[in-house]
Amino acid sequence: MTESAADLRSPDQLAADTRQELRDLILALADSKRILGIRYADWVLGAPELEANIAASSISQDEWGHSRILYALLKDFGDDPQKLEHERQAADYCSIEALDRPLGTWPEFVVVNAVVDTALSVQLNALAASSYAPLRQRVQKQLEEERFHAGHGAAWLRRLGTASDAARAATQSALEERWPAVIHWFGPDELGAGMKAAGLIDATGAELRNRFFQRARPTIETSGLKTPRLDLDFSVWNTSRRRSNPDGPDPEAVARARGDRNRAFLMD
Amino acid sequence: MTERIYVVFARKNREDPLHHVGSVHASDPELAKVYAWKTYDEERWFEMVVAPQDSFHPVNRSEIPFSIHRDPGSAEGA
Amino acid sequence: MARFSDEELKEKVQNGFIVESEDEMTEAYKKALITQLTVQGDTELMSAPSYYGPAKDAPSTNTMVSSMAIIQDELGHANIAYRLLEDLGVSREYLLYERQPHEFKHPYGFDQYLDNWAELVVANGLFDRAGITLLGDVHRNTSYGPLKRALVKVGLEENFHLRHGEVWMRRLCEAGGEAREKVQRGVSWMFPMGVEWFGMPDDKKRHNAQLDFRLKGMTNDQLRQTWLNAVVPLCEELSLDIPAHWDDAEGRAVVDYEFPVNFDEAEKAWLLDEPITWEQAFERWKRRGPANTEYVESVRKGRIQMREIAAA
Repeated sequence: MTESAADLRSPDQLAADTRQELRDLILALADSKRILGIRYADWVLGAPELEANIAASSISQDEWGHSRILYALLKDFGDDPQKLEHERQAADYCSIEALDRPLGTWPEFVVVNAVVDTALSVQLNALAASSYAPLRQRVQKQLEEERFHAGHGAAWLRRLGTASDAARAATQSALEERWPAVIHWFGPDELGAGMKAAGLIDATGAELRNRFFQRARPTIETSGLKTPRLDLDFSVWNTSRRRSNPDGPDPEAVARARGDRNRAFLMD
Repeated sequence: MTERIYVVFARKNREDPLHHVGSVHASDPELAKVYAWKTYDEERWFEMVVAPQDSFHPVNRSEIPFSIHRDPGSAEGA
Repeated sequence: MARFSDEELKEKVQNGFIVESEDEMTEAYKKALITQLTVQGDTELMSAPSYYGPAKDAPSTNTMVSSMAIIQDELGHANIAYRLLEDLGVSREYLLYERQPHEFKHPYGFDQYLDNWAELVVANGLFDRAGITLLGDVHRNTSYGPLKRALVKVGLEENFHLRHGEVWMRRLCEAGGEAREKVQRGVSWMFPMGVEWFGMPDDKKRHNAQLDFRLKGMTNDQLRQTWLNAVVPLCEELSLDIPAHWDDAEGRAVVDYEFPVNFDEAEKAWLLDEPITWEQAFERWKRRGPANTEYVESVRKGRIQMREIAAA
């Protein structure tokens, strides 16, 4: 699946609204992965065992690597990756709302690892056969790396879910807290229908949400946890930023994403 | 948490034999796989496998370096 | 244990014998090896929080990846040393989570805060160079087989850290202005730290079990000289001021002050005209530096959380 006659090589081959939708999706993925890496990095020293420190560090690098590649793809859409990375405010970020706050406890880390990371992978996977060749060609390696993220998240979720009542309760509560933002992230049911028709993606919002349930539910339930239930509400949803809360990530995360404190050394 | 030590073996190329690259602590084989992959990432391995340390049975020596049968939590600090 | 006497084992390892298991060690050999591995593991471990300070605020995605990769390596190297210790009967749980912060045995340099990206890359250039000097010698010479094998990975990765440090030191110096000033500031406090790193001079040290048992090959002075011979020309090439110079006549780098000297922790500044005794230097090391407790606590946060919720 590297070359095909139907391949799109440039965003200019797309209708204006579809092109915009694809650009927004790539940015949402890039921003989410940039912030996810920062959230993971907070646990690089303080994970409960040395091997988990190492895994957290490696996984955060993977996420940043993915974000860097995704930002670079936006050049062809007329964006300046340097500006995207270093000059935006929190309110410009399109990252998944589930990452707006830091991960204060290890169970929060595990829930984000098992659930948020999986949501991003489900979305990424839907681009693995994209007609937009530059994107498709970069997705495969990311998905291979994501396998290990999912393995880490699932194993730790099971461990926390079965360690003790208190561990399970802490994990369940972290899950309840981040869950709404995760299932809303796929957007209204028809989101992406235009991109799907153009062969850019192989699923709409509803279909992606369903795929996510198929993947997440067994992981959650075999861990002794309950899958939260709630109704979808897109009344204040911003389609382009894929979020309801307009604020964006906390200022500290944005300062780090932009590299504010070491701006004098920005030379790459 | 019932942790075990898993021994890690890997090979770089198809024709290579597996060789011992190190070990990790893990509470289950799934975690052991991730930990091994992330800890011993100095090469782009063609293949990596893990096995619990206590599944190794020394044949001609009483102790071998990667398989000392000792409960990881029990030893005293030196 | 005690298949050999100390004298027999010393002679065997000097003739190339490789120790592969505990039953081939003497008590004295094992003790010296445990001390060496503890210093090695603690040094790798405590470099991680030290590097993390600037790494979490790295100037870009690329630099965040490269500095986090270095931290990952250091944690992996700590794991290697602690696993080897565990095979010798020392509990990893105890080493990581039970000791008092001041009981860690890493060099005093990793008890300091690194203030910015420039200080991180100087630490890569100077401290990782010290690490390579020490561990490269161990790798070439150690009589302990499991350690010799494990150091292949460590050597590969430490070289990457060193390159990262030197490439970035050069880049920041060439940029001039604030970037160069911050590199100079870092070198000014880290260079004398590196001079101290290798410990007491040979003429003040009576005997050395690590050398006798061939757990290393070079003496403190030889190791220090190897480090100086690499670091001094680099600093001179980059026109960075250091209290040392390359002596053409002698064909080696020479330190321009009587070390050890006093260190002003609050200012992170060496008082090069205030010499102290080695005993005073050891006392300072044993008191540990300003970041010691915070760094040790930072690697324990999740373990403590897990213990609390797993026990509840």
